[in-house]
Amino acid sequence: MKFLKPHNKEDELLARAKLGSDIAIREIVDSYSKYAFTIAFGVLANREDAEEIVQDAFLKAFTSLDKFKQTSKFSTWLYKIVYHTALNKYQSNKTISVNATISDNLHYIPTNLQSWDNILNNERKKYVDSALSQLEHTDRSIITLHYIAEKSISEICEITGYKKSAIKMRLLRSRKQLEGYFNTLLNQEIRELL
Amino acid sequence: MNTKNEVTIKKILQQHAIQEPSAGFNERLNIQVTHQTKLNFSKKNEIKLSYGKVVLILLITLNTFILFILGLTALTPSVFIPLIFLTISVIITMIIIVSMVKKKIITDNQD
Repeated sequence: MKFLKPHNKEDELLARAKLGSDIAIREIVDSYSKYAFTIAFGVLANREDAEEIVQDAFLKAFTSLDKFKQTSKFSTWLYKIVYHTALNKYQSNKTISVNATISDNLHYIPTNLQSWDNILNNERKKYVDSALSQLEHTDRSIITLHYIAEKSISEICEITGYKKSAIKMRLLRSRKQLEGYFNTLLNQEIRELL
Repeated sequence: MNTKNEVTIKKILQQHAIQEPSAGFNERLNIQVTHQTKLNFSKKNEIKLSYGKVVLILLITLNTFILFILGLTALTPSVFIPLIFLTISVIITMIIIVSMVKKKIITDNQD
């Protein structure tokens, strides 16, 4: 998984990106954009806004790449920018109905669905999205960072600015909530996975 | 919560909770970020280039001034001519190094 590349490879890519290397920039953008989008979507629950935030965050990050001291991973620094930019947008745009936009997303069906597996996967995704939409946006972001972006508790503290105890507490609470939803909605699926 | 359930939740989330941006978003993002980074890079290089030119002019002026104070015109041809050759060879070496560095930067950006 590209996400777990060794730190040195990341440093090399960043050094080349600073010099304007197309390949290095493309590799960085391709590696992190999907996760950055998931984090932004977790806060905003709106695809257009999330794309705008990811775009802003990447431009901010690359503009101030010289200020990045490499005391942490680039991904941690980038997700911190994404999270706080998304949070600012969320606070300035609280009128957006979170549940409405998420359920809009649930009805999204790709046009290239042809096999039963694809339909099944789409259904599973709908249930998972539905379970995640029940969480508070901060909890959703923490869950995304921990389980999808595979960030440690310390890294999540750096990204969100919360204390370790708060992160652990929110993770435990969200896990319990998700477990409840998954047991109800995806009972058969969970059994298949186990 | 036991570890098995945690692993299961992680597996479910990694398989089904990753959000995909719209088609073409990555391509647009790549173009914008590349353009922005190159613009920043060239701006910074322009500043460094101007600074380098100023330093070089100052050094040449100062050295010429010192040579005249020391009596450059009074030097014998056996000292004066090698001095001129040395200066010319240093300038040529500098030009070669600069062109090599420029070529390397262009190659790195294209690889």
